[in-house]
Amino acid sequence: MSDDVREKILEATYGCIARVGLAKTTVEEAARLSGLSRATVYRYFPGGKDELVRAAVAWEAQRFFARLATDVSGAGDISALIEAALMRGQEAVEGHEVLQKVLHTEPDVLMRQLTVEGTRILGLIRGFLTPFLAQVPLPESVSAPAAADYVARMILSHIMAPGSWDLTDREQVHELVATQILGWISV
Amino acid sequence: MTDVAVPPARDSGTERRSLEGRIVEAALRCFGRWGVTKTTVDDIARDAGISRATVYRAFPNGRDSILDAVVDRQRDQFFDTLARVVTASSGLEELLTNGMSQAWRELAGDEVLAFLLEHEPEVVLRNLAFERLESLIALCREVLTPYLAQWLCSERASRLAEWATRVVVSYAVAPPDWIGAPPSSGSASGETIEEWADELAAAVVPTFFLPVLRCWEGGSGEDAPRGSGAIALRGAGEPSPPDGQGGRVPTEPGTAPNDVLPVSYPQTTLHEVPHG
Repeated sequence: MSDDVREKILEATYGCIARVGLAKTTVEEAARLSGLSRATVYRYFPGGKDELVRAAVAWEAQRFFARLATDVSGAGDISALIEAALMRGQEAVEGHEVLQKVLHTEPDVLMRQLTVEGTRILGLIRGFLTPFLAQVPLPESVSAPAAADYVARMILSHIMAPGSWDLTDREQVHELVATQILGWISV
Repeated sequence: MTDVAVPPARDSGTERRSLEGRIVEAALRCFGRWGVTKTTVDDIARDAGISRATVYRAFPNGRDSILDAVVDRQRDQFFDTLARVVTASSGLEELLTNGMSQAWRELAGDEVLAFLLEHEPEVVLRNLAFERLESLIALCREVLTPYLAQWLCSERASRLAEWATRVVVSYAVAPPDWIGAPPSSGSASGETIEEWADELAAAVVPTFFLPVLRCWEGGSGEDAPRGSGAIALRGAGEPSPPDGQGGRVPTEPGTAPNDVLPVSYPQTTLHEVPHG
């Protein structure tokens, strides 16, 4: 089985979700949009519709964070990196049309997908951050992955729900990072 | 003393409230047994030993409004217990540690919640992400800020309430690798949920919160330089409890505020994450 075909199916499925939502997305429609047969789609996703939709949500979530990682990778230091991740991340969540649409029309269906995905996303961000945190002087009791885990949680929490923070305001973001997110490290 | 969290009682009389309470308790049992989606009004009526019509008389909108009432009641109980723990704390560090541990105990020890997280996670998680997380954060900020404002200026108290809420939610939904999932009842390790929650709070609070709170303490609007100035996370200043009741113990006689702070971080807990 080829990655290209898999990618093509996921892209078509994602396009389908964008148009009709998670619940109404079908294997037939994904097959039609990708120009493949139903049988081929089932060969790649034997679990059928459920597996297909879950894989498409995971696929887009990974693309989302890959884009974010690329966007922020030029930042000078760990503080600048996290500040950029918060600002760009929140912007990207708000500007993500499909996410916003599904959040309003099918929040429960989305949450079911994100349950498993949430843990994986946390792992992705943690993996991205760990090498950066390995370069700063951490308290003796905290390993770089544990530090990255905390920072990843804070980033996720804030880009999902900024709360009292205005993440479009550079000064506020700076304060947030300098206190709650990295204040415990002498950066 | 729990008036911060308890909404005004409905005006429909004791009898009506007790009927509602009976239905809510029955619903809670059903949810814990079959989940939310599979529970019907008939199930709830049968469990409560009343007729379907009586259930609808108390909750004309049926299952959804019962679910709302269940969530309201669980939430009120959660904040009542939390308020008791928080009120009994005699310093900011103690308040934060005990409060977060208590929150984790309640969340990890709630059997219905555990059932739902396993079988219908979306029922729980939809309340902990995006807009509903915003509402939850706003609620916690409102409830918790007055307690924290005993030690911090109101702006920082509000920030801290939000911060602690985020950490509690995140670590409760997905416990970090370095501590692992909370023990289930009768687990082989013999560790209790209380010990698990205490361990989590004892690692998280000194590591991530205290260094920042040391800079915040004192309540001025400006950040003190890192590591400077007197620290009094316990029994600082002349706090006034939010409910007007006094009784907290200020700094112990002869104890300098700095001396009551833990001088070292927990040495092992956060190291258990494998590198790479």
